[in-house]
Amino acid sequence: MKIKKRNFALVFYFILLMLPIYWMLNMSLRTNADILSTFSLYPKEITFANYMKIFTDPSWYSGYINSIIYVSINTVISLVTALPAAYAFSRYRFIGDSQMFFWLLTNRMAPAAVFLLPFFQLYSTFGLIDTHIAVALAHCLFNVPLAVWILEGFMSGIPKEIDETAYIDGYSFPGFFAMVFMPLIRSGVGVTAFFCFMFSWVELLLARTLTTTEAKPIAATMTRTVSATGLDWGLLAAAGILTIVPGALVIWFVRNHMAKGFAMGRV
Amino acid sequence: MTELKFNNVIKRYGKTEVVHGINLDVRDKEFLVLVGPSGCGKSTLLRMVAGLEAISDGTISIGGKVVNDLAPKERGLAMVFQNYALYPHMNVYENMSFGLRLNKTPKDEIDRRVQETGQILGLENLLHRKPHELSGGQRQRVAMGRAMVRKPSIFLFDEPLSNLDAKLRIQMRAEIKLLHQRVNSTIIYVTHDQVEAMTLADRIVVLRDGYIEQVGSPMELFSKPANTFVAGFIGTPPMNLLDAVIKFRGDNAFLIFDGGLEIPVPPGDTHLNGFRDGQSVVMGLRTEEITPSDLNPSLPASWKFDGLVEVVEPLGNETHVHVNIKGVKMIARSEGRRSIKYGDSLKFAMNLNQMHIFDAETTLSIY
Repeated sequence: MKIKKRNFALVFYFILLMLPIYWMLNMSLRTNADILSTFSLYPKEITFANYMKIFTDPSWYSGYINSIIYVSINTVISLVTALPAAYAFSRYRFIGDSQMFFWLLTNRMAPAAVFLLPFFQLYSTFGLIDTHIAVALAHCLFNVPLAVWILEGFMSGIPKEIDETAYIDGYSFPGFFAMVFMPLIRSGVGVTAFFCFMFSWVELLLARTLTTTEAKPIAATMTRTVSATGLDWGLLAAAGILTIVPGALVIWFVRNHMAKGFAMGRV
Repeated sequence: MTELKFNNVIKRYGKTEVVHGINLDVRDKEFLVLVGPSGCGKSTLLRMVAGLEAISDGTISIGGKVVNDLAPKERGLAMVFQNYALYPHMNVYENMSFGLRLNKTPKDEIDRRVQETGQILGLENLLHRKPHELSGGQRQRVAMGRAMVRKPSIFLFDEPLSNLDAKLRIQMRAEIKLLHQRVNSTIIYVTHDQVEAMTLADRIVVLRDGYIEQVGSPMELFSKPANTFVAGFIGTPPMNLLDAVIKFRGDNAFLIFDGGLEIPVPPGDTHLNGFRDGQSVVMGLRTEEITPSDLNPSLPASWKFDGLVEVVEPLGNETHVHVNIKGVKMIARSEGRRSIKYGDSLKFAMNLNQMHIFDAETTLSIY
């Protein structure tokens, strides 16, 4: 196979991109002693002990389960609230609609840390600390506006006449929304779900502050690898690799619609 | 019996009134075309009939029953949109049978109607295609088919041909006319294209700024425009509309133009009725009534004028000649084979029997 000249740069770039991930994979398959003693481009003696520990130790795998639970709840809540809101923004004109639409996005402009204290106080009062729903709701603050923006873009790409034809054909609004409209914007819904998932999955600050043990996210669990005896490199690397997997899976499903999602559906 | 009645129908958006007290009767099985420039309220009117826009005031009744508060689906009509509005995720068959499936028509009846309609429209081989696999004309046919299978009492068309290229538009125009002859339903058709209006309509309603300017058959509008707007709107190229002043000389009236051109008003029984000496008027004369004089030798000599050719637009079968007669510019029509060049001096004959005179102030027809 002949590689064209201009492709060398791309290949080089690709290697740079993948190197950290490869290195993490490399570490996750080695023992701590091996990692610390010799420099090796590939694991000489492959061991799955690090992964086994994560899959068998409840304090480890429950971190993943907790994360998946609140991320899923968050994604569902975000979509369920954002769908009607986005529909209203895309189909109706009302006083202050464009201002309100922009105001939604300003929620994303503040750093999460700003909301940390009020959230903690609020959730303590309602006894929600250390529950999955607490984290899910907190992440809605950032995900709902984003979801509204993305979905609005996709919905505005569907001509209004489709709605009107459906009414004349005899559909009620809920029937139309479920049977006609949702199938038309399903790629938008997929992309939106992906963005909600991604944000909620990688967000550490709120998730860690609002939980203690019962709903502790995986990212918080990973900090346990630091101990008096040093860092458990292999275990940390294995946990890191497993953290990438769900995101990579979701990306695979929406890969064809990603670009449109990044453009908030406005292509 | 599906006549449709507009009774003082008004549409307001906030405080702005866009449709002002429309009164109109659409007869059973009539092909009615609403035509006018963009923003004249024709689409709004149609959407009020469909139930997609609320009626601010007045009533619309279908078959004697007021439908103001009925949902779109309860009005028994079908609508075809400019952008077709086909459901992209359903194939042609599903698109066409959609409305029927919703109101629980039996399966074999649905199938029979879809197949039948598909055959009429030449879609029988496309029933399993998705809309994105169809050409513009085919999509337009599917949109029509979707309306037809429901056997509605009234069809509403909202600029259905505007997205098609010129050739296909002419073809589909004929198909819509054929459809009307076949299904024998009432059709209300909105367009901004006066040629479509003329070719399709039993009656045309000319709208401007939310008011009805004139209602009549295509020939009525063409030969007896009620005002300068209708006169200029109907017909291509548009009628020559020229400012003049009425001058009485004895028993005869003359139109005096800036620059000294004088055109006699043909004498008749009532030719002086309604005129005032010195009245400002607009003379209307269609382009085909102004020709090189040898094409119309029978016209009196006083109807012939020397003109200077300024622009020549050959169309093949005919040629439009922009001519300057004593400083008054107008468009004349000549046969296609004659060679006329820019800068030629030529005698033109006006068939003044076909002259229209409108009052300059009210724009209404007075002759």
